[in-house]
Amino acid sequence: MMDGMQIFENKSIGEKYYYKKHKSGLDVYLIPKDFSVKYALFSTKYGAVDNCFRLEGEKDFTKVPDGIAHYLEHKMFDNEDGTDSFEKFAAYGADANAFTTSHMTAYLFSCTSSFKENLAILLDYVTKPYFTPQTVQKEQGIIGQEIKMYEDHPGRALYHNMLECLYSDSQAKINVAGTVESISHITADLLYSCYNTFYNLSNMRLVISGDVTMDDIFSVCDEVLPVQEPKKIVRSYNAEKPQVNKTRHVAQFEIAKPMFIIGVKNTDIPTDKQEFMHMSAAASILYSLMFGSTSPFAIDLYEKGLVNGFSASFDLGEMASYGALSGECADPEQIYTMFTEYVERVKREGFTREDFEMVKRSEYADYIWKFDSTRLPNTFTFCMNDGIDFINYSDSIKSVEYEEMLPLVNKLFRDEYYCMSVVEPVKGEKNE
Amino acid sequence: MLYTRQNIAPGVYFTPSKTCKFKANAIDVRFITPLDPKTAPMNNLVFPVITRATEKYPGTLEFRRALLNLYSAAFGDDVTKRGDLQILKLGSDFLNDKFAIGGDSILDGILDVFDQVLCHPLTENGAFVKKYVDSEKEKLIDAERGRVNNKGRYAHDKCIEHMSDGAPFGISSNGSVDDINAVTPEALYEYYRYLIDSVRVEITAVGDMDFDKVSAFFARVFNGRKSVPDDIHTSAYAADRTEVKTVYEHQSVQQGKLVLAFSTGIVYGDKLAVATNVFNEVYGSGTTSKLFMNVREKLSLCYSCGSSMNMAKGIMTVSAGIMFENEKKAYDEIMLQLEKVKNGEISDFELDSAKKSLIDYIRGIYDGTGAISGFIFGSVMTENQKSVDERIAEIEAVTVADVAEVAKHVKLDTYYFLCGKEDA
Repeated sequence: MMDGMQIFENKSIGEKYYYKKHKSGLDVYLIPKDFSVKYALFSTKYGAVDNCFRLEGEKDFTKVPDGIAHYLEHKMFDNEDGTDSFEKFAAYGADANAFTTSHMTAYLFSCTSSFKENLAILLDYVTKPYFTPQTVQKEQGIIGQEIKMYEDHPGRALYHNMLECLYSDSQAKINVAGTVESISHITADLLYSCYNTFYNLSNMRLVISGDVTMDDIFSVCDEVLPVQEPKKIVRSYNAEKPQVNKTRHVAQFEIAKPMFIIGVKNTDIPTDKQEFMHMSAAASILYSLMFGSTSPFAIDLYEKGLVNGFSASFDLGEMASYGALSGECADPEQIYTMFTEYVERVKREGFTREDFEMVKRSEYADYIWKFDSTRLPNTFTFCMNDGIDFINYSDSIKSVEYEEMLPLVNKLFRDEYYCMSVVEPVKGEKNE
Repeated sequence: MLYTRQNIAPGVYFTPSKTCKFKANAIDVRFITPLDPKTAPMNNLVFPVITRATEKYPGTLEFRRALLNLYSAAFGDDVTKRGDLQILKLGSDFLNDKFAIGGDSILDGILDVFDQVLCHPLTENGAFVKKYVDSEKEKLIDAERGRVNNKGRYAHDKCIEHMSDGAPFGISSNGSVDDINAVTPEALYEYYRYLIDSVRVEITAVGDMDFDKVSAFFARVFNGRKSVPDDIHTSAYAADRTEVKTVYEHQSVQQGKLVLAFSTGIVYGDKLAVATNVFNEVYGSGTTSKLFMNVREKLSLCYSCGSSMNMAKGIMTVSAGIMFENEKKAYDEIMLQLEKVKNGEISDFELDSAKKSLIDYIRGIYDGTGAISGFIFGSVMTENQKSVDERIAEIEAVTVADVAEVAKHVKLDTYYFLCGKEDA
């Protein structure tokens, strides 16, 4: 076994991962899986929310345009020798990609052969930025069309407008791709400034799954990664009040039937990691109990034929947290009223222990299920960025007690936390 | 041999695939039906209606609770077009019994759910329950009308619809609103009997489970069958248009969607089938294809531009999301790149990376129960018993001349542009 390597194991489901910090400063994780596919996710904890920052020791904060983290992700694929990193991966048959969220930017590949060669390409291009005014300019047209594509997507607008309703000041509402206007202010210098702050290896992670060894991974890291001094990043996040910013947002699209999302804001985010994991598990069980497939609310909507594609989820992140209930229906206000009445009824009547146990067990089953994915590093990285160790998350699920449910309902559900975003068909016109 | 397929009842085939690397198993039952405007709605309605009420699960709540109690098992239907056929899949993904507490058998529970759905639907007066049929019809009508919500897919489907000139392969998989409305509880029940008694059925079971038990169970479900005619086939699109069909559709959208439909005449099993997959990679699929490298990267005309191959019908589509005023530029470049492939202007790198990408994909199939099930089914339908290694060797043997030969079969048939509103 490699020196200084740690093993984290969940024996009850037969899964584990290895961890070791590479001398470059990078945290490296391997989830061994008996798959032909090897998957690597190299990510930085840097997303759309990080629009105001400085390095420790610097006096002034740098403020950058919306959409720059995503723009930077696109531009990382250009290399100084004029090649495109996609081409390098293609020479080994790997499937490469990248994505940006509110809180992270990630670069990835999956392959069934030439793993070390592909890993070397990944680590190399992400640690070697190359931007010029010309290459930055070229991307305006491509990302401009990406933004236009999203603008025609009612589901995206619905979600983004919900964030607008939920948040007054928080960066959590920033659109990941930005706007055509905001990205027009992006320059090569600004990209370098963001890169040099957030792409320090001490702010990054490499998570790999598949039939490979830590020795394979470390030999590539040794060869490719520069040793970097860790940097301390100071991020300036705006304070956010517990109440929603506004209660409604209605937009019009050329669609057939109105769509809605009811947002439920939560600003009570535990700072202690154990408490955070526990709350994440407890709230997700609670949402399944209240709005899951067997809940009285979901059954009622389905049997009365009021809502198509009803779904509910709860999201707990380090800086933003909310519940969301969505679907397609004729009259969103009717559903909103049913929602508020239902919540009050739950507060009075509670749940049965039998239902709680059934839902809790199904949450545990859903957890086990996730280990069948060839893209496990995504789940692990999302969780780790919030301080959750996914391998132990089953313990958090098991620790949730029936008695916690009702107090949690009272804590999470209050009128001043609710908002609704609606997308409705364009008025006065009919589709041909 | 790639798979061992057993004939367990007239027209019913069972193909097991054992693998121990997953925590969950998958059983899929696929009914192979002709694609027809009148039966398409019924394919979409029959199982949603049945899962509203069976003898043992009289309501949605009881049915969903049963699945949740089976360790959150998934159970549902999926309807897809495959050339002139429509495949109705009823499938379940469920955890392996070893994760069950106290020696429960999840598999037994799942087979019981299949039994309820396939053999014990709730009926009234020899038909399905009218209120459930009406309710599911409304949902399906909403889904059919809601196709307009996703502009990219909508534009693609509309282009194929225009290409088809009313032939079945162009219809919406849901069926039309009128045809959905026309379905009665009696007709739907009759259709259900037809599925159970007279349609070819392909069953796959993937994972680590007692396959004999599964096979015996389905043999019993279908044991009342008589012989089933093997008369449902799909054929290549007949490209007999003398000039390209052009269609403009106007909506209040921010971005234009250009979709070009081509005939290829090449279907599964043809001599050029493997080369056609390589052609698709070289020309328009993925990040090193000619369309991505030129329409997007060189000309910055779009974010998404790519080709997709429908080998069940012998057609190809190219789609691009562009600014309205770039329509001509994008079209010219798409056609120019096709011309280059025809002329064999394909670098060693382009050919090599296209092949590697396909090979990488094939090697990864055995990493997911759903992918294995789909791969087996596809192989059964095309009567392809070649192993993964043999298929890789076939891909490796494709030459630049083969790819250029495919391009010569590719002929523009229908031109469709979803664009903004004209000034009123």
